[in-house]
Amino acid sequence: MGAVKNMVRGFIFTGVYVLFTLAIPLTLFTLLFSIEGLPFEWEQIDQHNILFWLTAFGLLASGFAFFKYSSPKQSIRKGIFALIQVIINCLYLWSYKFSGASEIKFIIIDYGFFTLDISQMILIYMGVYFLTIVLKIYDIFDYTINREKIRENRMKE
Amino acid sequence: MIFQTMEFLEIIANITTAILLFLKPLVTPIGEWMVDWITTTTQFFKDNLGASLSFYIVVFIVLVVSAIVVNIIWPGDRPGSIFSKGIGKLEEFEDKIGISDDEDIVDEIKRCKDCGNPVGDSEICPLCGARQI
Amino acid sequence: MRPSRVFRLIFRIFIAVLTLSVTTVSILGGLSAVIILREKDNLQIDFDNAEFNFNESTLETNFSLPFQVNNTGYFDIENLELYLEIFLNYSSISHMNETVAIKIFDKAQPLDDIPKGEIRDFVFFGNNSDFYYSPAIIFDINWLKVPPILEFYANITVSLDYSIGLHSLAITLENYFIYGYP
Repeated sequence: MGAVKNMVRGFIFTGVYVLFTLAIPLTLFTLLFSIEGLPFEWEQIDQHNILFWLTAFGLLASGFAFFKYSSPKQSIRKGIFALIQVIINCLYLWSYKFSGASEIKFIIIDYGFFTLDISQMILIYMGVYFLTIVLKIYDIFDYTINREKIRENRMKE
Repeated sequence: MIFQTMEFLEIIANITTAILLFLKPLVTPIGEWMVDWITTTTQFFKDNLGASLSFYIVVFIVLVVSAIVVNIIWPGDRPGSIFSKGIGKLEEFEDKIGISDDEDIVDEIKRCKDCGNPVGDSEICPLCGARQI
Repeated sequence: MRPSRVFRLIFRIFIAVLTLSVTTVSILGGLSAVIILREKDNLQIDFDNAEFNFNESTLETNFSLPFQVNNTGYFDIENLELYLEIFLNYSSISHMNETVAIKIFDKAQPLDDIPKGEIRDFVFFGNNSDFYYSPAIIFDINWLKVPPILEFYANITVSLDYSIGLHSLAITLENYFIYGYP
């Protein structure tokens, strides 16, 4: 029964990941690029590039999500795949939110342009991700050292 | 109501400013290092695996299939083949000890056949002095 | 609960607090931008009281541009700077009376920080020494052209840091007409 439950959980979370990392962003970006007559426009967007890397890293994130969420609780393999998934999430966010560039330029038609540089904000978010990676590495060590006790508790449930 | 909301937001702004001003010098250098390796990694992907999505689709399928296989063979909630040796040893120990649910530990104590006093391994009862043969 | 689980919980709370703080600051920064830019009075360039003096025989030029910034947002405005480029458009004899544009002024003026809730008045000065004209230009200008013979346009860039330096903004107005001679 445990295997079935884990599979179902894995599929549910993969579905959520596919929705939030692939379906919604792809739909949003496709709609955004097709709208005409906005009072401002993006200047440096490479549409094909963004959609490609969104899809590529979204697929990786969803695949690793399935492995992670279908693994037993507090298992070593869950810890390892959780760590890999955080790293993939970093790559995904880099290609998606920041498009590899931390300066966003909006053209205001007939007036000029407006530039927003969020490089400092990116550095702090990346620092937070580093802390998350440290936590995942700690989890792996914890699950490995205490694996007998964790297995006993899991068998009892 | 609007002024209360604005005051509340100002308090939130002050608190978060204090937290970030304290943590920013610690977190920013780590973030710089993270940005470096992420940029290198994404550049590697762009240079070597940026031609088509096939690689990523294949990896996705491999991950899902391998997860299904691995988590069915080792679901983690019951002893799989990896635990069978340990369970066998446990059963062996139980056989040696000879523990039975029906046995009462009180019955195992040796008693004097005359007065019923527990005598243990002694040949003479300490209470009535009867010899235990 | 194992001690390792307690440590993990504390670490997770720390990460959550940090993430929440950055997100809150970003949201409040965006909200502040809306609050400030929504009211035109918050960013006033006083073109009515601005002075632009130009001498056609010596090409001596100077100007003063007063403006006011009202920081009605939630954070201090830091590293505020005004950068001005001025271009001169004229009919060029050497280019078969085609209109050419040359840059004659290029200056950045750093300004004081504006704490939240405060108003600051600034004046941007452009002295004659800040302008650079080529001496030969006076002979290249077609003075017989239909007025205006000379047109001055500006690119104005206001740059600042907001939200404890997490956001750096720059707003540029391009090709803003400031003066025509005669």
